[in-house]
Amino acid sequence: MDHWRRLLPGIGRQLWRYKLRSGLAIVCAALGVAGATTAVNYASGGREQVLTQIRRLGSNVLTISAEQSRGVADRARTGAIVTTLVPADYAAILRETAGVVRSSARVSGSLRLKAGYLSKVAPVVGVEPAWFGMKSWELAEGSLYTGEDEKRSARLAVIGATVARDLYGDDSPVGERLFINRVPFDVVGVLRERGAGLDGSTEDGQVYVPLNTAMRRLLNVDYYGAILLELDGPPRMPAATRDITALLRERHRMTEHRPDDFRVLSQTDLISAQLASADRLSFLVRWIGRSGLAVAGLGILAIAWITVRDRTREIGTRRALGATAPDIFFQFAAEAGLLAVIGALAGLAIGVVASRILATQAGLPLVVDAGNAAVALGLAIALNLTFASWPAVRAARMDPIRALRHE
Amino acid sequence: MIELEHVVKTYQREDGTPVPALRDITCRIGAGEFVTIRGSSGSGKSSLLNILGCLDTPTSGAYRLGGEDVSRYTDQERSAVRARRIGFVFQAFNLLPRTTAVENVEVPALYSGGDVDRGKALALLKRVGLAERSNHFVTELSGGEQQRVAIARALMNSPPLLLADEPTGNLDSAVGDSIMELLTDLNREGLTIVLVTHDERVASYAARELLIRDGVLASDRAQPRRPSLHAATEGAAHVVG
Repeated sequence: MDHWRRLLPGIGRQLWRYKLRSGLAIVCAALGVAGATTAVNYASGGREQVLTQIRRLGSNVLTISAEQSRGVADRARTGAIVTTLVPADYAAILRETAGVVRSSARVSGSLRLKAGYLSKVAPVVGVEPAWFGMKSWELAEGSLYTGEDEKRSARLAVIGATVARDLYGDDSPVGERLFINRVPFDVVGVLRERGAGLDGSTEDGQVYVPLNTAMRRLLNVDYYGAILLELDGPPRMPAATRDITALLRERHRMTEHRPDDFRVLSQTDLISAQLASADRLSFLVRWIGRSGLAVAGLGILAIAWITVRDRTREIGTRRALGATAPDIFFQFAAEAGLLAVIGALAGLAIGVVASRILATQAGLPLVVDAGNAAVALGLAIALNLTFASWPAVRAARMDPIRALRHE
Repeated sequence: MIELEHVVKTYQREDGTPVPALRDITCRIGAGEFVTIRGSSGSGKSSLLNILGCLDTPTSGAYRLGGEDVSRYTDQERSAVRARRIGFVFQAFNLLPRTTAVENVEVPALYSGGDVDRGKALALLKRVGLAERSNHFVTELSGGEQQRVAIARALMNSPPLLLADEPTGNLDSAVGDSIMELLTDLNREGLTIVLVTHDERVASYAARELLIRDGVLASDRAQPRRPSLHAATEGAAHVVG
C-alpha cells in the first residue's frame, strides 16, 4: 500500500498531460453535482418561501370574518357589509374558547392620507398591538403602539414601507405628523417590507392604528370586520372552529336553515396544501438531481473505459516492468478518483453560485441546503469511484502478454 | 543464471484442442552470456521469451532463475521478479506516451519497492548517449533514441538479466547496428542478455545462438562474434558509468 504513494506524482502528470480527457471527466462530475445541488437548493428555496408566508399569515391562527357566505337561492349577497360581529361576540369567544394565546379584532376602511403636500388614498386598518406579533411582523424603525394607547384611543399610526416611501420619501417618518381623513396622527413606527403574500395582496401599502381609535375616530363603527385568534397548537383548531361556529350562530339567533353571517377560516388548511405541493416538488427535484449524478457517473465510466482501452499497451508495459495487478488497479482507480473528487468539488462551487443566481432571478430566498450538498457530494464521489473501478479492474486483470502486443 | 528443464508450454484453443508451443526445452544460460534465440514466426520463440521473462508460466517443467524455481510463482511473485531481476526491451520500444525520457526511465523504480532515484535515471540516459535529451518527450525522439531510452529503462533497477524482443525490428539497419553495439557493450560490462530475433544478422552479434523450430531446440551453438564496429562508435556510445 505504502509504495502507491510513489505512483501519485506520475498520476498527477498523466492527468495534466491528457488535458482534454481529464477536463471532460471533471466537467462530467461537476455538472452532476452542480445540477443536483442547484435543483435541491431551488426547491428548498420554494419551500422556505412557503414557510415564510405561513409565518406571515400566522401559524395556529383562526380568522373569524364577518361575511355573508351565500345568500338564499336567488340572492347572492357575498361582500355585503355585515354588521353583526360585535364586541360582545368577541368577549364571548374569548371566554368560551380554550387555548387562546393572543387575539386581535380588526376593522378597516379606505381613507385619505396626507403628509405635508403629499396625499394618497390607502387602506387604514385598526388592530390591537397583539396583531403584529400574530403575523410575526417586525418593525423597521420606531415602535408599536401599546395596550395603553389602545385603551385611550391614541392617535398613533404604524405605517407600511410603501406608505412611508410614498409620503415621506427618504426621510424617517417616525415622529412625523400624518393626517388620516383630516384627523392628525403621530407616526410611531414603520413596518419592515414584506412583499406580496400567498394571495398576492401586499400589506406594505397599509396604515395601522389602534383598534379603538379606528372604530371611534375614523370609521365610526361598532362592529368588526374580523377577529383573529391564535391558539396554542394545531390540535385545537377543529374543535375551536366548531365551537365558535355554534356559539356565534346561537348569539346571532340563526335559525336552522339560515346561512352563517360569518366565516371561520383556519390558515392551516391553506398552508398544508401549499406545503404539500412544495414537498412533492422537492421530492421530485431530489430524484432528478440524483439521476443527474448517475448520468455523470456513467460519463466518468465511459471516459475511464476508453482510457483503459487506449492505454492497453501501457498496461502491458507497466506489468512487464514489474507492476502487480493491484498496482495497475490503483493507477487507474486513482486517476479516475482524483478527477471525480476535483469535479465534485468544482460542481459544489458551481452549484452554490448557480443557486444564488437562480434564487435572485426567481425571487426566491437563497437556501444552501448543506446536508443535501454533503449527500450529493458523497454520493457523486462514491458513485464515480464505483463506476471508475470497473474499468480499473479490467485493466488490472488484463493478460500482460496480450496487452504488450496490443496495437 | 537460467536453467530450463523439460519446459513444455501448451495453449488451449477456444474449442478446447491443445496447441503445443514448446515441446521439451532444456538448456542453461550462464551469467554474463549473450545469447540469441532465433526462430521463424510460430516457432515458439515468443512463448519461450514470455516464460523467461516471468510473464507466463510453463505447463510443465522447471524454470530456475538464479537458482530459484520461479515456474510456479504466483502473478504477484512474478511481478516482483520482473521488477528486480529482469530488464525488458521491446521491438516497438513501448515507452509511455506524453512522458519525458527520464520519467520513462524511472518507471521500473516505481515498482521495485525502493525510492525513485532521479540521479540514477539521468546517469543511465548519459550511459546510452542521451544526456542532452532527458527532458524531451518521447514523441520528440527518433526511433533509435527511443530504443536507447528503453534500454536505459530496462537497467533502472540494475537487473542481472536483460531480455530483448526483436530490439532492432522497427529500426533501419544502421541504427539497429548501433543498438546492437550498445547491447554488446553492456554485455561486456557483465550484463546477461537474451535476445529473441528472426534476423540472422542481429543474431550474429551474440556468442551463442539457440535455434528453435516447432517448439524444440533445433541447435545450440557457439559462434564467432561479428567483427565489432566498437572502435568506430566508442566515442558516441560508450561512456564509462
